[in-house]
Amino acid sequence: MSRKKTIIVAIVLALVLLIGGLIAYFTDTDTATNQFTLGDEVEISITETGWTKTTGTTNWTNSSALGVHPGVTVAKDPKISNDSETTPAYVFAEVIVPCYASTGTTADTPLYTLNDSSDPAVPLGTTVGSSGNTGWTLISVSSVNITDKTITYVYAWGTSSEMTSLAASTPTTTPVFSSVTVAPTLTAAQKATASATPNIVVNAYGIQTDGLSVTAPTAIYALAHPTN
Amino acid sequence: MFFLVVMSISGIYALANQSTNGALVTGIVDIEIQTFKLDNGQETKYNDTNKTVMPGETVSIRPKVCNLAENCYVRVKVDYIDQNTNFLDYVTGFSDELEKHGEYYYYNRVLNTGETLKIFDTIKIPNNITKTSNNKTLKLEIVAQAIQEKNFEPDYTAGDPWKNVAPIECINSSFIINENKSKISIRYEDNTNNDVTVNNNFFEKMATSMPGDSFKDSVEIKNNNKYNTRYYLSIDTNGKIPEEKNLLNNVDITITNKDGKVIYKGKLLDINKTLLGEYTPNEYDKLNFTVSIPDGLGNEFAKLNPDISFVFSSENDNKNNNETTPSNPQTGDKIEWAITIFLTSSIGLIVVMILGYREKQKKNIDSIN
Repeated sequence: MSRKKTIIVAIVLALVLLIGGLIAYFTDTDTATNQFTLGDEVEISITETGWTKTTGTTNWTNSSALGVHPGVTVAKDPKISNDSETTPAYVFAEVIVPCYASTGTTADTPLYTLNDSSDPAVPLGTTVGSSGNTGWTLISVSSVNITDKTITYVYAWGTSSEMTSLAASTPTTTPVFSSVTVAPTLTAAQKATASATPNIVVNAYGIQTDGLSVTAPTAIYALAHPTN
Repeated sequence: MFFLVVMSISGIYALANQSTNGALVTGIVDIEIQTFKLDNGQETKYNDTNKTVMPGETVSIRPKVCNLAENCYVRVKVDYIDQNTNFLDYVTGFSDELEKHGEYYYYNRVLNTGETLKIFDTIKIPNNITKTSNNKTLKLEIVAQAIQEKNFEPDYTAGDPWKNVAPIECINSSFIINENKSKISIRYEDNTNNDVTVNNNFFEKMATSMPGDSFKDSVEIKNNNKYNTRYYLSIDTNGKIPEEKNLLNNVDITITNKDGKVIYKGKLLDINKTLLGEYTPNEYDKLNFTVSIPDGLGNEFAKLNPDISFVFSSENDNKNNNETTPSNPQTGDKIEWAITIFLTSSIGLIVVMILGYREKQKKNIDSIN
């Protein structure tokens, strides 16, 4: 590099250092770090006395429920357990009951009634606000789905205005219902209008009790079981 | 008569040193993030640095930037969960005095000493957060930075309003106002206290100095001697730590006379028996001093308070004829001078008394004879 270029480079470097040195003031900086640890996820399970899960399926079968006739009552008592380690939960039971056509061909009547006990079988109310077994409240009744030929009942563990927290580490609810009775006046022709597999489906839903933006059971159910 | 002479000499010694109310004290920028929460409507300290939360939960957490020292500009940055998360979607009560420029939010006015700036009130845990998507912990990190207000003006039209200054942590994290400052002192040698006048508030405003500051004061000189006299200035320091001496090595000073002529321009500590001027008998001058703190000083120069003495001395044509004017002992530190003169005068008095007694005795003998 020529002497002239060397001088120019030196001057430029000196200017850079000078400017860098001038950009200095009294300053300060501080950092605050907070950490949030997610609580345990909600884990729930359904159990039923006398019903066993068919291996490889989600179906539960009871030999006493095979080949039942109109008017027969079969014990069926779904209960929900909170299996979370530390997280309390609100729980719901969605009961899907098959329907038949009481007249014509369009299904309009539940094939089974849900009872609060098996002996004697006392049907549970089918209007919103009716009580299920102790601790349960019916918060939603759908119209009959004529395609699926079903009607859906949603029970909340709590009252129609306030949920009851189910503590963690496997405490269990009372049964949503205790038995089911086949429609007593069912005729063969009416039975033919029902689904070929008229099974009762019970789905359990659970959701954390903390951090919810709503308090009404129907609103909490919408969070626990979003339809979209 | 000897005693009267001794007492009058002793009375002159008290004027050689002068304390002033001035001091050179550099300020400091010091901020702290303090975190609070609302507990039943009451604001309390937030101590839960690792809180267990559920999706959708709203956490009451109120971070504030507190100014513990000099007025400053402040900017903040918030990181929540990951770089893809916009924290603004999850907070409430975000300050409307924070404006975004680049990756920081800038407070749109000066944060004065003792003031606090609230950043937000609550933060929400996302509804759809799961352990598998974010492991198990969520991070909320708040960074606050500050820069001195004096001699600095942010440019909000630029890409970086703080002109590429990279704030660093201040040296002394606990700012304590020191009431016992090292004051500027004046020392007069060669009887210059008769000719040089320095006011007691000399550079009083330097008590809070920031990079870029400039201070002015003045000194009066009147030659009360019978001879032409040259006056000199030296700077003495008893810097306790290297940083204090280093600060003085960086401080600039300019001295001009009453006609505006520059007598000296350079670094404060380079003043060493620097000639201020030569004055004829009864001539008067007013010297203007300008002390400047360079704006390139960083945090290592903060919160310093060096000891500074302005030392005035002189010599005149009488000295050039080798007739030295005896310099007066300084107050408090030359006590042996006073003892020496006292003893000398005491001996002199005793001699006079003895001689007087002998004279009297001789007269008595003569009268008997």
